[in-house]
Amino acid sequence: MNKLKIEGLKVKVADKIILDNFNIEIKSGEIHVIMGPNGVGKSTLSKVIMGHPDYEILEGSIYYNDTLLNDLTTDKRALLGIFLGMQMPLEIDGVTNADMLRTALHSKLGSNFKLYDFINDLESSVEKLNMNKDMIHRGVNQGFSGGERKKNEILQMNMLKPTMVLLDEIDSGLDVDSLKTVGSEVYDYFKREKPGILLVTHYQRLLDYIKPDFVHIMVSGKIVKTGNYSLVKEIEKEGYNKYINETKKESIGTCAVKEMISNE
Amino acid sequence: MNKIDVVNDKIKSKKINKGINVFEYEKKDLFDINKITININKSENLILSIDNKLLTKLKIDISVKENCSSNLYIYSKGDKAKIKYNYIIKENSSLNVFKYNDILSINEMVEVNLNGYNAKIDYIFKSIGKNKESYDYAVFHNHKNTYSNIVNNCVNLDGNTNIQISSSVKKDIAECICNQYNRIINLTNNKCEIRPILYIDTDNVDANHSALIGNFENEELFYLETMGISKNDAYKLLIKGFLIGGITDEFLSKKIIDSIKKYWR
Repeated sequence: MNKLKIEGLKVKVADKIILDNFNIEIKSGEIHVIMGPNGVGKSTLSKVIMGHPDYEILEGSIYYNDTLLNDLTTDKRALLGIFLGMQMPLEIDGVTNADMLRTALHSKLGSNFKLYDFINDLESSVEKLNMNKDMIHRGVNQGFSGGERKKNEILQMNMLKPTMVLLDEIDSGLDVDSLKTVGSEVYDYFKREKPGILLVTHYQRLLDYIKPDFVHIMVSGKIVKTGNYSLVKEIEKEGYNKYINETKKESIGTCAVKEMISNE
Repeated sequence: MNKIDVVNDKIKSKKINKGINVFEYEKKDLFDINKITININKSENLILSIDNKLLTKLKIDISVKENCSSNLYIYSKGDKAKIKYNYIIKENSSLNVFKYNDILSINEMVEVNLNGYNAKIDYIFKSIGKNKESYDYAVFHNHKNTYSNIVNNCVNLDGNTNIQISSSVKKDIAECICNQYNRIINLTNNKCEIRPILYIDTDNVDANHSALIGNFENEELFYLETMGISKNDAYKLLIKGFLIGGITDEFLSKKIIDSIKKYWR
């Protein structure tokens, strides 16, 4: 049983508080969904868990099992079994997908890395995701459509076999067929490997394929309401206004952060 | 494949087909320099390997005859070199140059003359700077409907890397494509410089230039690190991608990978 536990987390970037007194606990075999309006810190959360250098933890702790992550480098967090599927995966010129994944698996498995198994796993995962086989030998996300980039993130998840999966708006930019492929593939992985999953999403449609155990509403850098799947239906119907009005504090999130950083 | 091995300023060995002629000119006095002339008369590919054990001073002329299409792979290694390359591309000919420099200190001049209708050059250059690197390019579009694409990708590991590149399209020379893409990954706090210049004295030309100096983006490193790749390995991957990108030949790829293993253990 693995457990990601965040207690009293306060995070700032460029002198602005993004997360404030944030708490959550995610165990293996649980699917948590975080929903909320734009700019409340949802994407920030996943980046902070992975140790993005732009964000500074002022208070609180992030534990994965017995390991305090606060000062751990990003690669060490990933090697503990935490994976982040990004909202806007980067294009990296010249570095091929195969090369990147081979290096990542080599870092994880060391001398247990087997090239033959790697090639077999990669080919089978590419096929399941309906990806073009040539993509694995192209530069990371180079010339990929939005949907292909998201599939590529799921490919990485399948290959790295994490025990805690963070997926930041993995459904954005996907057409109906790709959404089904990605949603089903994530859920298959969940059934097979029983990781803890934290999903950040704006839409209910992804949850047609991935059934959550917990749904959290996030406003102004903290969770203001936790419930079950019925909460998703409520949000679809009534929106976030009720929760926003209850929260008086200043709201700021990744979109605002990017603006601040670029203005510096 | 055709291959010419040069040590310092002289040809040590050559293995070439009839489609390529090579001439050597020996300097007459102390103020003169050795010259190698390579005439490509058929669509042949060629490897030119230069080992600069002493201070090499050399001029290399490479001429591509009409209606030929060739790939030229240049690998230059060693301590110090001052080399001037002069490329002449004639009508309906194209030359793809793939070049990698692994030299401690180099001062290089490159002149390109596109002398006939539909003459083309694609020039992909890679280097790892360790002390002082200076590159000075002059690209002349001397005929209409000519094409030049010059890509300089340098990693500055130590010292300084400087690139000056000027492309000229004179009056009445129309329908040319003239591109320059220059990037230096500077892994030091030392000063590096790129001066991209376009002299365009006519309309109807498609010309682009770019110059970028800096380190890799933090986001690129973070993306790779989220997969469990250490910062050092992430750098290696990015440098490999930067230097190997666009190089299709095994000979040069291997040389670049060997260098990465040597400098980033």
